Amino acid sequence: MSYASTMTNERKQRSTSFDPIDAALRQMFNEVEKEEVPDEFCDLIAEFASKQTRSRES
Amino acid sequence: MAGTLERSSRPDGFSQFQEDMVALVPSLRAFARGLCRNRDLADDLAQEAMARAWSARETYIPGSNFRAWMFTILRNEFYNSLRKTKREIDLEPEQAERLLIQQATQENGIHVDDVERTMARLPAHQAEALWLVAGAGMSYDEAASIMDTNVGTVKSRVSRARETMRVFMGDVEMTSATQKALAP
Repeated sequence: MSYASTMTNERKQRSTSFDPIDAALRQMFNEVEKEEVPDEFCDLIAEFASKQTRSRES
Repeated sequence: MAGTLERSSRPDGFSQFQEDMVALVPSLRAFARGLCRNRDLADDLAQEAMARAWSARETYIPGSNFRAWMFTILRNEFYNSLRKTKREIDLEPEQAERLLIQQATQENGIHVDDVERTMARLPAHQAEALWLVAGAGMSYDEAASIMDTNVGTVKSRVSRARETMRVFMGDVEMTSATQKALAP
């Protein structure tokens, strides 16, 4: 395969690999991931740890 | 204390499970948000899934794909909840608190809030597949496992979802395949 055809294929791949809708969805997902985690989640994890400790002791 | 989930340093199995769950909370919230399209409902769903996972922690195989395992539980909780209540998921009246980002891909003529609005119009299974693959960055294999279907079905749903999104966003004309996909 020639260098030129390789480059053409790569360009084709690149041009089809970027989808602005996908990019927007990824950005939406990332934005939620970056949000501060509400206290309720911390409380829930602490509750799990507490239950685990109690089950070990009993 | 918000946002300061602490990881345990104990090396036992439960601690590892707990650490993995803590690390996954942001992704669980994001996946749930895509399913519910409502911040409060999504956070409730994520917590229900975490509680369910904790109860079933003995069934998790250490070293396997924890993210896919948790996403599967969350998805099951979502659909179980829908079946039980048959409730309609209300969209929040105000968009301000939602996950919109205004810059996004404007250079491509696409706005993130347009994408979000359009996602809400997709058939549920298409939206879910697209959210897992494009939003969460899951592989087709992982998405198929989470959605309890095969890879071909996921690829088909994602493909139809993308086409439908483009149609709704005025990028392309509706094909017969899209018309079929949107048929009730």
